[in-house]
Formats: sequence, C-alpha cells, structure tokens
Amino acid sequence: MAEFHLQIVTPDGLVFDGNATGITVNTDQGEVGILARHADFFAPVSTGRAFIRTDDDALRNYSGLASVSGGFISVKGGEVKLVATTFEFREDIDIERARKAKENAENKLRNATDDKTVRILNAKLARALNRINIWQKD
Amino acid sequence: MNDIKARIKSVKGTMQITKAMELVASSKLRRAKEKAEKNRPYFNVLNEAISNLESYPDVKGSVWSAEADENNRVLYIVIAGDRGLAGGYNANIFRLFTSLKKNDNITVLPIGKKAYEYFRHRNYPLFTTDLTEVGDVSVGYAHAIAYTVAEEYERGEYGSVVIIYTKFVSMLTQNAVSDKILPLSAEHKENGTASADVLYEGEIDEIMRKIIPQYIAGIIHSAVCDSLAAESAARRSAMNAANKNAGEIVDSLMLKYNRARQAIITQEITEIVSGAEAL
Repeated sequence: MAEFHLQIVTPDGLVFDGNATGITVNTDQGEVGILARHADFFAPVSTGRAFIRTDDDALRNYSGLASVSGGFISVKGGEVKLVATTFEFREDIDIERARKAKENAENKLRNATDDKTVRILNAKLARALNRINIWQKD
Repeated sequence: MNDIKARIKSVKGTMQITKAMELVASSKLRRAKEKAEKNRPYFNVLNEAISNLESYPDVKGSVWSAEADENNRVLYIVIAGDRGLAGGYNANIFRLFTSLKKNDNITVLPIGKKAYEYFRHRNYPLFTTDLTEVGDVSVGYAHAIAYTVAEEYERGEYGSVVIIYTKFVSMLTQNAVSDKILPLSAEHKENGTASADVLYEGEIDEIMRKIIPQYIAGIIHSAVCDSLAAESAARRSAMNAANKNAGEIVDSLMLKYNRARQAIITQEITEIVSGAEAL
C-alpha cells in the first residue's frame, strides 16, 4: 500500500516520525481515515481512539491502537501531522495512573462549583476514561 | 587580624551556599533540559501546521489574522523565574519587555513569581491577579490560560498577543526572546503555494475556536519548558562565577591574614631580641 509521511507530536515529545499507510482519528464530525495522497485537510481532533497502520520498525511491537486527547490533524501536500495534547499507544498506557486520575477527577467534581474548574475536571475525566476504554480493548 | 579572620569565615559561608545552589541548579538543569529538548519537535511541528493554516484563504480573512491596530491593547505573556540569584536571567526579560512596549496600552500576563512581583509593583494591568509559579505550569494549566486568552482575543479585547520568554540555546547561552502569537502573521509562511481547496471538518470559525487555544497552550508550554531550562542554566553559571569569585577573595584574604600574622611574629621577635640586647 502507498505510504505517506506521518509525524505525531505531543508536548512531551515526538511520538512517531516515519512512514505509515493509514491513520484513523476521531474528529468532532466522526471518525476520519487518512490514506496516502489525501487532499489538504485540517480538523481538530477530539478525545478518543486513533489507529495507525504502519510497517515502520519502531512500531513493530505495537497494535497501532492509541488514545488521543485533543489536538488537531493537518494534511498539507501529502505530509500528515498529528499535533496532540496527549497521545499514547495502547501498550504504553499507564492504567494505574488513568484509574487514579479518574477517581480523583470524580471526587473533585462532586465539590466543584465554578465553571472553569468543572471544565478542567471534565476534560481530565474524559481523558482518563478514554485511556481506560482503549486499554480494555483487545 | 580578627577582622580578616571573620571575613574569611563569612566568605567561606557564602561559598558553601553558592556551591550548594550550583549543584542543585545543575541537577535541575539536567531534567529541565531533557524536557525542553523533548518538547522541541512539538513546537516545530505545531508552528509548521499553524503556518500552513495561515495560508488558507478562509483563515486569512478571519479575526485571528486581522492586522493589529496601533491603538489596540497588547497582551504580553511574560515568563520569568520564581527566584532570583540567576544572574541576568530575570533582568534580561524585563529589559526586553521595556524595549518592546510602545505605549502603556497593555495588559500583562506574568508567569513566575519574579515577573508577578515586577509588574504588580509597577502597577501594570494584570491579566489575572493570581500568582502563577513557573514550576506549576502543566499542560493542563497552559490550556486553561490559553482558553481564556483566546476568548478575550476573539472578543476584541486585545489587538495582539506577544510572549516574552528565555530561549535555552545551550548550557552557556540563553537569549531573552519575544514571539508574536496572535494575530497569526503571514511572515513565517511562504513555504508553499497557498492552496485554495483545503478540506475542513466543519465550520472554519468553529475549527479556529478549537485550534487557537491549543496553539496558544502549546506555545506557552514550550516557552515555559525552555525558560525553566534557561533559568537553571543561568543560575548554574551565575553560581559558578560567584563560587570562583569567593575563592579568589578567600585566597587574597588568606594572603593578607598570613602577612599580618607574620608581621606580628617578626615584631615580637624584634622586641624580644632588642629587649635581650638592652640587658
């Protein structure tokens, strides 16, 4: 299958930089799959799952399934860039941490009153739940 | 002689402190540097993607890339340290800020205790009255600030948003720099032909409202990472210099002390000898 150059970055570093044959991410409008020679494209990515198809050696031991929270995806002249707030392959998810984060967020949400805090906590909860969901898939 | 002795003791005490601070700064630096270096690809790709976005016709006409008016309020995001004793680290930031601001029609969002104190003391209008320490700025926190900044920018409260921070170039060089975050400027694009037919998911306004806060958050987070590394590096070299300096002072004081001691001994001997001769 035709390949394209894919870069995935998060504030914690470069997650992937290599050739892939396909990537699927969730946007606000639903799931979007991108293959080689896709037209120029731009969309915000919502918290959810992502799937990378690649023969790259770096991901030989990975299923390609990953959890993403926020960010955007950009295709320009065949170069695909996924700029994510967080991005972890299923195999890299720290499940204990995710569970703790979920509990933490839930507890704090019960007492939270102002909009800003609730918004932050909801986002935290959504991220934790997303990680747990993806981790449980097999 | 007792004076010299006391001074030697006090300088040695200072030396111990600077030595300890140097060690702490070195170990912090190692971690901060690693983080800053890891963050760099994100920063680069983010900037590239955003500058691609800038060339899209729909974005060009939007509020996000409207040319700022001279009379519009400017929001400065200024990142300095939480503590002093880092050489010119904080002073350089404030000097850059002073040279950048054209008038007083500004609001400042200080990050770091030193920045907060500086701007509050000079009665600049502040973005928030909360004190933000640089060490506390997480990705989540950066998003929270960015969200508010983007909202207020869209409402027209600010004509432009500028960030001032210290770039970590190497262990020995750190530069205070400023970057314009908003409006999206056309200056750093031109790396390709503007394509008219790009697909968006949904309304461009909606997309921008989502993307811009993330963009700002990304920039702030990267800037904080860089600043932290730069601060440690600046403190380390400042403490290193202080250490050397203290060493030199101790050496010269030691010399003085020994001379004085020798002079006293000589004098005593002379007195004894001349006393014996007189007998």
